[in-house]
Amino acid sequence: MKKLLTSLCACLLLVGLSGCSDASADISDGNKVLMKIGNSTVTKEDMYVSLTNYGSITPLINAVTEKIVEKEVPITDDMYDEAKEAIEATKKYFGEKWDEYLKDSLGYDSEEAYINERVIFTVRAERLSKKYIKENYKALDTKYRPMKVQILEAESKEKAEQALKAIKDGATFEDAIKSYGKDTTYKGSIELIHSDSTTPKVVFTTARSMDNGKLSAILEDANTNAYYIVKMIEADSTKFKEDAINSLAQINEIADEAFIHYLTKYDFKIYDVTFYNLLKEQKEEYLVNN
Amino acid sequence: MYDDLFKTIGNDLLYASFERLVANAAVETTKDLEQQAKQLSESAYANISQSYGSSTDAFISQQLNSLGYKGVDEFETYWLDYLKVQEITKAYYEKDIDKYIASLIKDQQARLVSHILVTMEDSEKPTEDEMKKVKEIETALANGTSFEDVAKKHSADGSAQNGGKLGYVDKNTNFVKEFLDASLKAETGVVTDWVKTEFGWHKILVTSTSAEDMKKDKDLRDSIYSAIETAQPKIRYTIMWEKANELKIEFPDKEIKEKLMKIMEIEE
Repeated sequence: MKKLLTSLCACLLLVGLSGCSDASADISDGNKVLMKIGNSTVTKEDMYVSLTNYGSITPLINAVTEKIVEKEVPITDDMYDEAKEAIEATKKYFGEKWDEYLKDSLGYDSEEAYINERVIFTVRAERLSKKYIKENYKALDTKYRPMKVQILEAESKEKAEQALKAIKDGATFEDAIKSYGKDTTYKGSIELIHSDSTTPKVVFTTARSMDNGKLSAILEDANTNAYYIVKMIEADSTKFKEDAINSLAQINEIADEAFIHYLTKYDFKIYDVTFYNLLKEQKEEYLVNN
Repeated sequence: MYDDLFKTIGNDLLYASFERLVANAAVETTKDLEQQAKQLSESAYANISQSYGSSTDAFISQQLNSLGYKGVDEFETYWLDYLKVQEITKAYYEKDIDKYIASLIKDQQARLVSHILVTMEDSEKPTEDEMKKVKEIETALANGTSFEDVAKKHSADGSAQNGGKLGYVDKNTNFVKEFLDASLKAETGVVTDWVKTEFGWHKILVTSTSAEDMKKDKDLRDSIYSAIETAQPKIRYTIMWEKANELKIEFPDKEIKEKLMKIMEIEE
């Protein structure tokens, strides 16, 4: 008999696990025949071997995440609204073929089943990261320094100078960009930036020492030969904390950090060698207790 | 945790196990099948290694793992199982091949298509040399040279050696849109005007929409089987389920049977 694969000891009960600190716990009913033709059979153990050979850690991570969100993120009514909103773009894309896509490609009989069995899980997983960010906001704010700014990009120093003059003379960022700037990335609206966003380094570094309402001098990005002007709108991220949390939640490094935090909290251990090797190869940092 | 994982990825693996069980019970492993599986495995390995180089084994293992195989060591076994399933499905189609071909003609606009291609850097701006080829082809066709002979002499792709024959085409065929649209609109036996695609300019000829022609050319069979499966994506489930029942499959666990039937959308 194979060992059961993982345990989230202490708090999380695993189906089929005879004791959560017992590394030699067995899969229950391994010899149970699931289907049979003549003398050939497929047993529960055969399926177990296939599951452990699956090759991707994603299903394992999802299964573990489900256990964690059960403990950390209770389902609330507003999650259903968020879930419906989350699938709206996909529904629109498929139009009349949405039901067909739902059934044939996603494998759900109804939208309700898809939301309940899949989308709500995604919403809860996202909220798990946000919960971690809220609880550790001060440290993450210091590290990632979210700010609200306006940015103007120009292709030459001369155009940047003209733009700066126009802004100082009272033009809006939008108008200055239309007249002198390049609007492919920045169109003059208020941007939420942080140290992990794609903002040019010179813009972020300059902005982090600016006060609200202040306008920078002309900044040059030596790597791209582009010129920038930045205006600080709000330097204190506690004034737009919800937006900042939503933005920080998109950072993979933070999502990983959050997941590791909860794996540690629930004493995550891997007993199965196949899954252990897969995690070691693909996500070693998740092996928090091995 | 087993049950949690089974819930997430179990459907695919359960169906894969079912299909392997049925295929192996239904089709005996012969030396010929083993030889074919070996050849397919070697050829696929060589193709994959062109893209994946030293990661080929890891890539194949990953793909096989997701189908319930242990890894690259079972690559030949995978192909053997594949051939067995093919044998079952082909036999099923052949029983009613007339019906399937008729349905493909009626519902999917099935036809046999040939073409002549003049490759171009930019089909909107042909060069002088490219236009010279266009004129040569137009003249040859106008002078009564058969489409097949003109294709053999002038067409610029691999189909030239077969007189431009592309074989079976229907509305689901994976061709560039302009070419497919023109092929579906073309009248049988009438050479089209030039059709511009990203590859260049094409003359297209629908050589037949006759069920008899499609049936008698055995080289078309694999395309026809694929077309049946594209038009009826669930047919493989029906075939394997019927075969399983013929072999008197047993499900000691009623829930497993129900789960499989749900995956396959089979109703009793």
